[in-house]
Amino acid sequence: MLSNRYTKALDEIKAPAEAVEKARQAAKKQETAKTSSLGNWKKVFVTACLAAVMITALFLSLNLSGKKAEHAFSVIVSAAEIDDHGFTSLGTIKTVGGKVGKNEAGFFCGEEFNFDFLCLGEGITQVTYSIENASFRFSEKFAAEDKEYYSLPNAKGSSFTVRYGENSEKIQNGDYDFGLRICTLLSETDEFLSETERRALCDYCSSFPSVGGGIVPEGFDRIKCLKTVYDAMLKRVRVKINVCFEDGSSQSKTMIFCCDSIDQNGVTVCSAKLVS
Amino acid sequence: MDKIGTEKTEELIRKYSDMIYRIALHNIGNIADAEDVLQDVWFEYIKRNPQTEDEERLKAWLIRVTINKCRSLYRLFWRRNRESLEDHTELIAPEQRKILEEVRSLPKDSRNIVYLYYYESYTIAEIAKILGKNQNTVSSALQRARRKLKELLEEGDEEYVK
Repeated sequence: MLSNRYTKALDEIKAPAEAVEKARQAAKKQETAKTSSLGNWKKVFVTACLAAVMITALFLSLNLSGKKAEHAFSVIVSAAEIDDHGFTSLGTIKTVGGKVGKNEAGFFCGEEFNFDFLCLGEGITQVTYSIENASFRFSEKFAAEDKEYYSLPNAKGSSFTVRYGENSEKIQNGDYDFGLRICTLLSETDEFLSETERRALCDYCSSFPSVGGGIVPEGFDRIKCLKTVYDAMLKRVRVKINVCFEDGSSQSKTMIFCCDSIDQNGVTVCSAKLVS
Repeated sequence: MDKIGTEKTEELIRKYSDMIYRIALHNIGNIADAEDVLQDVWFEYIKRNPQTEDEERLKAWLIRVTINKCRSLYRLFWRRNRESLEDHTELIAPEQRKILEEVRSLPKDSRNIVYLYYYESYTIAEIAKILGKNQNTVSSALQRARRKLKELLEEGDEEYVK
């Protein structure tokens, strides 16, 4: 959300508590009327399915980690389990809030890549996700029961922590720890950019009429240009995952990302890998 | 897809009521009617129970329904003649009321576009999809709104394009 007088004013406007409470009560009444007739069979079936998912996830997390360490944990990003054997495709990644512009320093370009993070493992009490060379923004994932969240929505930050409840089995149900957007921003004056990356950034920004007048070099390929920009954005990003266990010990893993491809419609596919 | 239970529904109500109320205030210059729209949207949600686990799609659905409810309300002649924002001074602070009135001086569609762009951080492409409009239309409306509300929308304003 951009910060200006308008958004600051809207921050102060809240729906009247009474009206919200009325809606909640109506929802409760309606759902009670509809579900009471189903009896317990539906609940038994759903519980059995959840138990099957939990057992499968626990089995996979213990056997895919490569070693039977006492405190192995696995990292799931957007439904893909990430390991250190090579890049694992995350499939199509939603990009949100793409922006291009020009200021005194020159062209700049930002993007937010949407990922869902989950750590699975026995005896986990807390997980902290930290990021380098980018920032996080919470993407408002539904929070599972029995998890407490720190550094919550609408905040942009470099780390987020989720603390699991006492009954750790209860939370191993596939609900993500966080939906987090990785927010990246490049400026043409960034010294770490190669000439190719700088050129791609400038050409991409110039291609927008309102930013660079729509002026592009001969043979300009927008998708290829954007791919170079995304590569430059993601290659420096490091997500560190620190997991604490019931016995007081902790373990960390670091994850890196890359952009595999962007198609003609702007649909982006990314991959990730653990490096330590 | 599975039906969303009571607890999820209540969570959604807590999460999105502010958004619905703000959109309603953008479209209707009347607090009592905005509250009515808030109720109507949630009743519609409970009745229709849109079956989706994708919360972004659900949010877009809520936005569309809210805007449609505001339009339906406005079509009722007697509603147009009710009291306006300035008659409820105790419910909205003067600065907020002034800002809302400035935004409400824009055409209806532009108000929603401004809100979705600046407050909900949707891109032009996403706004076009939610409102069922052409991207160029959304982009033009946003540019006109920026010119008119320059002072209001300044500070950290960067081009959002996709």
